[in-house]
Amino acid sequence: MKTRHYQESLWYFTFCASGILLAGVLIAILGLLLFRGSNELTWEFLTTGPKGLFLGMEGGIYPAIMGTIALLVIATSAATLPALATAVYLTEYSTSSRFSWVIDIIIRSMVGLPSILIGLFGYAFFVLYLDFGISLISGALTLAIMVFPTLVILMRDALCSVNADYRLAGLLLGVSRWYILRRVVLPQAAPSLFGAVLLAMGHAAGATAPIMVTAAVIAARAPSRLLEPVMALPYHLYILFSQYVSLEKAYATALILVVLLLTFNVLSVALRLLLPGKEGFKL
Amino acid sequence: MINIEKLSTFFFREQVLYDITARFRSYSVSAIIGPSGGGKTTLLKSINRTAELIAGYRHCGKIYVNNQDIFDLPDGAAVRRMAGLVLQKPVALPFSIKENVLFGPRYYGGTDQSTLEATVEHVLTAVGLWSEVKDKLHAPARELSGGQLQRLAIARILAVDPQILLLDEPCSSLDINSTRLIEDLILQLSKHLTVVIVTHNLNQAKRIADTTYFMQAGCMLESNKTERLFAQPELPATQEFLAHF
Amino acid sequence: MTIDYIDKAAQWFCTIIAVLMVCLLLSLFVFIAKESLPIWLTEGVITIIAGSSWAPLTTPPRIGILTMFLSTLWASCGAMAIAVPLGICCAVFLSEFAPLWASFAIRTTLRVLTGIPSVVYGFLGASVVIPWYEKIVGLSSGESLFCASLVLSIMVVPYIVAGTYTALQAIPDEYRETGYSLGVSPVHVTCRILLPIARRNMVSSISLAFGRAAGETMAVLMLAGNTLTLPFSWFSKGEPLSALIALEIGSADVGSPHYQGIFAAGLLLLLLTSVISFAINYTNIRGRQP
Repeated sequence: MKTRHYQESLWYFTFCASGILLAGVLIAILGLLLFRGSNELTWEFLTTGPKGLFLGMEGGIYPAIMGTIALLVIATSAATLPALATAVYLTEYSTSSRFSWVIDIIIRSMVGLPSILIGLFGYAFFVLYLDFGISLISGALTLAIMVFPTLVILMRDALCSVNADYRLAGLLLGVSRWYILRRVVLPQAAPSLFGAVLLAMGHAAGATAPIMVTAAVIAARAPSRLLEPVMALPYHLYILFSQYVSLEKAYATALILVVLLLTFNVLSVALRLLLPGKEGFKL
Repeated sequence: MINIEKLSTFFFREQVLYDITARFRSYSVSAIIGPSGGGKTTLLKSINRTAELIAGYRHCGKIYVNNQDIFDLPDGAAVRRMAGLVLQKPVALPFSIKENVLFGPRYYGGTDQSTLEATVEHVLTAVGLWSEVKDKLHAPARELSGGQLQRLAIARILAVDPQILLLDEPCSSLDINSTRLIEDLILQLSKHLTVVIVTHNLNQAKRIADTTYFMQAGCMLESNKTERLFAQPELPATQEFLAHF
Repeated sequence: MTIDYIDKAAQWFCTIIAVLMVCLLLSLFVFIAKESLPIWLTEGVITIIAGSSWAPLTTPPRIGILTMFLSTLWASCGAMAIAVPLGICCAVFLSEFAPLWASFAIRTTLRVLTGIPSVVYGFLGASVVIPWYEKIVGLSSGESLFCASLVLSIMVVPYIVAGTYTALQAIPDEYRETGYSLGVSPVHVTCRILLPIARRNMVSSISLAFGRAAGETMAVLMLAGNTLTLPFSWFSKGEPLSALIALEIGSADVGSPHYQGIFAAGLLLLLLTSVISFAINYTNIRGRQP
């Protein structure tokens, strides 16, 4: 029994240590970024474009910030309505459970698809076939495809978790599903739906591989036309580092990117927690 | 012999048991009855030191088993081995029937094949399952019926050689035949164990218990020999409870 | 009985959109297969997958993606070898042993970790992990599939922890109580009772994590070394399929063997990740027995 005791203490220690280790990793990451990146975070950095002998060595990342924002906005606008319609179809309107099961499983399988493959498709389809070229619109539409499956699943969960009694009460009054949707379900699910959109924005903001091959370039002006290439934060970070341009600015860019994404995540969770009208929530 | 002295337990800020004092005699069946939520299960789980595994549990008071305060022992596991607890809904561990029975013995280091097999046969016979399962000892335990599973649960506990058997409404999810089998088993086992059973079935208490205890709202109100408690309850609360049945 | 036209219109709208979007997603598969088809036919499946020589611009072009395939396997399987034990142990800690506040704090931490983009992981890995590795092992160039696996494992471990944690939490307390009341310790109960029961659900989150590790691009781009020699060990440099695609697609002439070869690599990666993903979802929805 003694050896069993030692064995068990060892396991217990392992369990505890792994938990603490992972927590420590995050703290280390955030700490490192803050420590080495905050020096460069000046107003100039955020509002001017890259300058210097090697572009990016001096100056700022303003075009990259605007580029990322432009990509985000267009991508989410493009993906939200179809995703909502699909989610509504899956929860309210599907008549054949077999058919919707097929659609459901296809969408679920697509969630983990490698983003580079979506980029590959985007390159071949938007950049070449539709002849949009390396441009904002190619990148945004590719990102839209990338976030679409996740959006559908999150929105579907949001719609499903609206209290079933509301639907039942509506049906018993003889009103149509659309009416219940419009007056009850969508308003109730709205915080979660917005949260889902924010989360999708976060994914799109951080994705590098798809935009690397469809939209992003090393240097460009702030986005003004859809058919022009843009700079983007994740790609800029990659260039700053892998081309040995500026380690300090790379840290700063990484810090901005992480802060941006964390903001989206926190807002998304906060929406679901703070706005009324939802009983119970799923993180 | 279980001697409970002024046991109070708390769940975070709420008090669950209030100054419980009771004596459970050895080699007899003691039944605890009372309305739901009265703390009966908490009392059982305190005796076998399972209650303290839940976050927020605090207690004060003492519980003596054979004149030793069980809270003095540093390791609750030894107490749990000595006082086995049978739950309301029996659980089939994800092993075969034989391995379910041997789960405890193997933990305690039993490796001798013949001893293990003898244990299996011994306890399964004691609970009356041997003839029903001896040909399918390697079948998964979840294939057994409710009544069989409950008897298997008791066999599991017997395999680690306890002195006390605590049962929490063991027959509430069983049919009449299974209930009768379990009750007969309890009477058998009470010859060498101290048995404490929580039950909602007052007839069951009348059938098998030597002493009955009435608990309400976390207090031990009255206890007496079973026939006397049912025939002449002293407190008005007891009378009112018994009158409903 | 009045017919609600808006309702009908909404139904049609939603149905059509749903079908269209799914077709779009499916066309992704079809497209990649189609663009790579010529090269599969010309060179043959075996030559491509088992060929270790990638020189698509020579005449005749040599399209062998074995190097990339092996690199992907080394990086992702290596990452799983680190992440799975770590993740399961951490999940056990959070579910069974940690005080509630610690469990909540660590789970939130892990959730935040998933929000960090892969390019930042790659960047930090390259600027911190690789110099450490170079110092410890004494190499001048620390880029390797091993370092890539290290960083990949941190990226996927939150998914394993979340899946295992959920699986453990879903097991009713009665199983734990049954074990405890035999005088058995919590560690023993966890290892012998709870983990075997949770196994099915754990498998699905592990498979998902593998898919992510195999498909990851930026982290491996910055960490794996990007060489075209066959990686014989975990510590070699390599170029996973995803990195190959990201690096070379921009420069490939449309329709050339180079272009088709890249799509062939894409198809292989697609099959690797989506077949696994599809299989888990299918068995999960089908076999919902405990």
